Amino acid sequence: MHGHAVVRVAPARYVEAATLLRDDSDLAFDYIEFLTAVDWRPKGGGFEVVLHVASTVHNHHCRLKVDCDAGAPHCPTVSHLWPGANWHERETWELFGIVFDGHPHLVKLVLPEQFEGHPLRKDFVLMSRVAKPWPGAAEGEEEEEE
Amino acid sequence: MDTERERALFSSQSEAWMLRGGGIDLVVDDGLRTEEMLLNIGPQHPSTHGVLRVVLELDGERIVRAEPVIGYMHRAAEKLAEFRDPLQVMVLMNRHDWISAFNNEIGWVLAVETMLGIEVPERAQWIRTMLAEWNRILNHLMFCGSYPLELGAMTPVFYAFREREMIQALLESTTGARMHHSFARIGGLKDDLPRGFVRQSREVLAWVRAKMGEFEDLVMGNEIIHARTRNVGVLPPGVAVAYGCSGPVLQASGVPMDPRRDEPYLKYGEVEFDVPVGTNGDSYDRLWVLVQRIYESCRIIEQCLDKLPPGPFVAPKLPKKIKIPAGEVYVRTENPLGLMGYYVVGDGGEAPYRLKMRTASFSNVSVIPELLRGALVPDLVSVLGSVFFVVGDVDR
Repeated sequence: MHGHAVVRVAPARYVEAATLLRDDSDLAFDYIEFLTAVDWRPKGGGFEVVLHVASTVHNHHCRLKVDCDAGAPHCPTVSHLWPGANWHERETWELFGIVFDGHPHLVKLVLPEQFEGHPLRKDFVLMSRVAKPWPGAAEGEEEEEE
Repeated sequence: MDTERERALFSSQSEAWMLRGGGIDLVVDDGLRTEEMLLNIGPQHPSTHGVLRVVLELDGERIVRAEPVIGYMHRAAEKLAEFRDPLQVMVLMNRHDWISAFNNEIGWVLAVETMLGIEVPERAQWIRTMLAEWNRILNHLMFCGSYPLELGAMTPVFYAFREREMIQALLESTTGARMHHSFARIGGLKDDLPRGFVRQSREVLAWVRAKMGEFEDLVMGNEIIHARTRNVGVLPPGVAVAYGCSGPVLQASGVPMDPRRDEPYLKYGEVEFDVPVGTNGDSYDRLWVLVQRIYESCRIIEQCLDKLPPGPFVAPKLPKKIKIPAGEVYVRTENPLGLMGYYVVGDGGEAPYRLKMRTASFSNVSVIPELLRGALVPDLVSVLGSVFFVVGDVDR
């Protein structure tokens, strides 16, 4: 998509696919760009873990997508393949509540320790937006354009 | 616990300690013992450019383990973006890394333009390229000045900020703002260049080039800088790549990755420039790469000034309300501090359904434990400073 390959894999074969991507000499995806998730629950789906890797040798890109359960999302870790994935998985875990099985150190990264909830889930309410619908909009301007 | 065992051992020897100097020979059973100590650096520390905390486990002067603690500046930009339209998101996006504001915003507008298939006029693309490079010089000058300051040299920062001020004036004349320009728009720019910009640019460019030579002599040839940075914080290329480092940190380790050259966006495919790479991957090389990148940016700006075509600065017939279509895009740009990526997922609404910001500093800071393992405490500042990060860019 837009010059980058997008591959969807089953959770059970995710680590296998990632290992192949990294170790095959024609693929050689040695560089981790990011790992994140998308909450598709309002659209009737579950969580989707997105891993974007690149190759500094061949200069090509690949996005791996893994579908996770909507209720209790679990996903295998890839932090042993790319150490850089460690922090990305910790961040995704605290912001989405997706448990990365086998992760060596799954503790809060950017949120305070006492924080409850997973802020990037779609059902986590952004309080300021509830209290005030659209700050900065002039009175009546929104309705005119609709 | 290990430490308890060591403490007990220590007290059993206390009699021998008291007798020291009393003329008896001390028999030490198993060598000299040291206790490991936890030391907290930050969150407020001059070398951290914001609020980064590092917890160190020390064995004497040597760092056994270092753990960066981030999140003190987490502002949930990704969540906020899910409630804002593209223009409002742009205002958020140029704030996470506050000294490369223009580079941040073009990454975001490029992502939206790619999704919508908007063709941006030539002139706007050239101006964007040029302003992005001016902003890159601003950022690099900041670090070129502050890094020697952290090492104890007071003067370079004044020289660096003199040039910075000239470029700030140039950008202020164009965008009207000193820090958060918000000058890019979906489909082009807010405005055309002001009258006299090209002439003034050339003057500032010549000045910056001349003064950078002076700066290089002062700092890069300085004996103290050499002593403090050579072979300190060596990052092997394999480790840098596996952690997803980018920008000067990666290039100093000898990996010439640069989205401007690998996947040219804007007008980077039509200008000539080199990607400087270091050889050792130590702190000195990281600073050296930074200085070389300023020269390369000067080259790009010069070519932009020569090739700047006339024409409109914003695309005609833009939709009045910009809606982000269903689908996804990942746009990578080279920010001053490294690879900046925007992963945008749309669902047809005004706000992005999901926006992931892949920031350079986040990955660069995650490699700090590797860099500090086995280093000495006095080298800590030299290593931390040379990773060149902005805490807002780490936490987002």
